[in-house]
Amino acid sequence: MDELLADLRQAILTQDENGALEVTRSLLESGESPRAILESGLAEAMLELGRRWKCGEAFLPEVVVAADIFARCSELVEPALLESQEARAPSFRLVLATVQGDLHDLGKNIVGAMAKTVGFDVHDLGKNVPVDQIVDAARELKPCIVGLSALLTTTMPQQKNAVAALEDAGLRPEVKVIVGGAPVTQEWADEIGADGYAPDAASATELALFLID
Amino acid sequence: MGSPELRVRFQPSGQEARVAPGTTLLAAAHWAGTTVDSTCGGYGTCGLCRLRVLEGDVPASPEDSQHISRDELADGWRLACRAELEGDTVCQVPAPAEHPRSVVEGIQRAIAVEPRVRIEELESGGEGGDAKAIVCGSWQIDVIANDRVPQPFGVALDLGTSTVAGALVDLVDGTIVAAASIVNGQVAAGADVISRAAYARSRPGGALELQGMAVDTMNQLVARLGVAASVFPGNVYECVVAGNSIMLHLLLGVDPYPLSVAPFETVFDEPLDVAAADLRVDTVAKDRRGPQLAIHPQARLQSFPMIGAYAGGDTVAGLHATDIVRGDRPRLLIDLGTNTEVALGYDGRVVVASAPAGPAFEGGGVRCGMAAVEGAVARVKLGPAIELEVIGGGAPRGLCGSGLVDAVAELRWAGLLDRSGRLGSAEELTGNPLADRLEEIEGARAFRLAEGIYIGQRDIRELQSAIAAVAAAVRIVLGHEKVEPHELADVYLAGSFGAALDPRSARSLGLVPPVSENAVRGVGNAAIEGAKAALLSFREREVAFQIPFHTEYLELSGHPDFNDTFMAAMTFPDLEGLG
Ligand code: B12
Ligand code: FES
Repeated sequence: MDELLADLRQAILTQDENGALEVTRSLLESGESPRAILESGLAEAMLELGRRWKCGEAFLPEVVVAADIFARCSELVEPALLESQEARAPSFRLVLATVQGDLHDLGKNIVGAMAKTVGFDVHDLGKNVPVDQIVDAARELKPCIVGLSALLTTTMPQQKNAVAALEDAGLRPEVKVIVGGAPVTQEWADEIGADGYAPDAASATELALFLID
Repeated sequence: MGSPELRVRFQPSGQEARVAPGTTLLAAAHWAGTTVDSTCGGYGTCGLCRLRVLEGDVPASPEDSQHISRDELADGWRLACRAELEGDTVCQVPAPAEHPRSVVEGIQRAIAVEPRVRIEELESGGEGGDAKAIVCGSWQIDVIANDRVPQPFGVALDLGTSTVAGALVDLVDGTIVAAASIVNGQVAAGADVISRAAYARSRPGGALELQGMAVDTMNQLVARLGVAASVFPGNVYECVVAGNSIMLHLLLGVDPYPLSVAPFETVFDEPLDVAAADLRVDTVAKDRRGPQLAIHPQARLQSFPMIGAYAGGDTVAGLHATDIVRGDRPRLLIDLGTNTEVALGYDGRVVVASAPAGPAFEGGGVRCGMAAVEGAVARVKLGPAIELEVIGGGAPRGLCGSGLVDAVAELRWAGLLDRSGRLGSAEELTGNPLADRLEEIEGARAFRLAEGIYIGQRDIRELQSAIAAVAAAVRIVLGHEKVEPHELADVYLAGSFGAALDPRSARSLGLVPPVSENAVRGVGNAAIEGAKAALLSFREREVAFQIPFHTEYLELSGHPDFNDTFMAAMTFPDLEGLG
């Protein structure tokens, strides 16, 4: 079993889609607990990939493809997981958006993909999202965390506007706000009253986990 | 910009041009490559640009009657510089009586010296009898006694985000008497154009503050050029400026905010002809006087037209210098920088895209990165020994863009870096003679190039994103025009980084499309070449200013193929395939 789990991790780390799907099926057939497949196999591999991303060893194409494989393997595991009624970790909701005026979503998508692997229920509002829509989503979806991405110096103020609007709507401090994107810094996060900043997707998941603790 | 829909043919040569409605016959002739006589520079005063309309309707202008008789008018004779086109036309052009005085080399072609600045005899009578007038187009700049008439000069500038380049030009024989470049004083307000625009908004009067910094920089540069060539700045009568759109807006005191936020639109895009002593767009700043460029107090400043917020006057000037628009074989111009413009031109049209490469080419965001100044490693060769070429010849202090590209390409050839851009570890690469230079710094792999100079894994990633952004733009532009890389006659790399780049390294990393190595050519600062051409010849200027009407701007944001192409372009080319 452990060997198969190791194979699964390896298949994800090398973006071998067919291999990963095959090993997942073998694991399910041999009666491995779906939770173990998810946590010790799939999620563990993605976390490793996140670590490699952080030091530059893995890069955009690998992570995007691996996240896709992760999603397809999870689909295979899902029915067994429901059937087994194994207690699932409570799911925390994360709403993500790239702010209005900004069309850069590659980074935000990776943050979402990585957060999913540790069990976040991710709602992605997309890119170019107006503040109103962010507030509506925070009100209706009741997330624990809202993550806002901005890649342009001139769209960063939208992060500030969103924090203020969430405040005005009375949704803070229950809903935490984290911010990111290449020009964003910890100082900026402090200045606008956000709860956190992370420089990359792996750190973003750590930050999110820390905030719900 | 709109596509040029009118067709004009010039006889007897048969040369043709496609132009936009409202273009003058003279400009159309320049575009077609037909020489029409003129000494006034197209201001309707010399009367030499007469030609005869054979087919099509060209309304007569008020100036026609001063040079053309009633019978001739009825016969179709018009002043080409005054005649605005409204429909397809065929004309007969008389052979020019006067031939251009002398010639200088631009990129790829010769330029006849026919500047807008001229020295004219004053109509005699009264006190003007022994004086001459210095004119710039229809502006009289100065009146000077016959025995004191100075040599007229002009200055061509490229107002770049990080550096401002200038050339001081003798407007009689067309020689460049001095050339230099200095750092744009605005860098204190942010490294890239978006940060400048954000700065302009961050405080009251921010845009005017940036305008002041730009003008101060230009004045320093002009002073330096003057000293170098022993030319009095008061004898400089015209300045022609190319520059990116945000720089041109700031130069003329216009808040560039709309260029920096979606939908990224220019406030103005036409070429402006303003007083050098009062730099402003008078429709925007009605009362306030603008700052002064320290040349002749009555001199003119002409700015280049823009294509859009991210393809500015520098792109137009670069397109003009390389003349890729009018060629018959597809050619590519890549102006490498933080925002890299990619243009594919042929057969009278050009498609332009702007790739958001980021600062890596200029050494930004890179651990040991630095600008291409003294101490920067500019070339790298990894053989049995490591050969470094350092700017200024001293000890290496860091890597500039061309050094980084070389180093990463060499790491590929040396087998230390795979196609995904992952640097191997010392353990994986035992046996490789360079393996002992692989180290770990702050948890990430790095290659030691020299004492204290490393290329880190993250630096390679920065370069990879920058290259991928450019390569994606190239692929999308070529795909849009259904041109295969091997069909490209030339690939011009503009900008100082482009000129310093080793074509082989650029190909190894996929920064230029897979064409033969000799097809790749560094052309230096093409924008200043284009600005010089416009300064030296009013004909060249008219051709250059037509370019936006022949340009299609391809927006990459939201382009359906961008993300996939960008991602695919992150994988380095297979070295075996390159030969
Ligand atoms: C790809 C790209 C584009 C693509 C975007 C495609 C897409 N779907 O995302 C397109 C072509 C659309 C584009 C357009 C433009 N771009 Co652009 N673009 C880039 C580029 C090359 C890479 C960005 C990227 O995807 N990086 C990879 C991802 C994975 O990294 P990341 O986004 O930083 O995300 C990581 C972290 O920041 C963090 N993170 C991200 N979001 C979040 C959110 C949270 C909550 C947290 C905690 C963390 C976090 O985690 C991520 C993963 O580790 C950069 C330059 C560069 N080399 O970086 C310029 C860049 C960002 N663009 C820039 C510019 C100027 C533009 C344009 C204005 C240019 C133009 N020509 O029109 C337009 C603007 C369009 C718009 N309205 O937004 C500038 C911004 C300069 C500035 N000072 O603001 C840059 C820096 C390039 C430059 N010229 O200097 N661009
Ligand atoms: S009158 Fe001089 S060019 Fe037309």
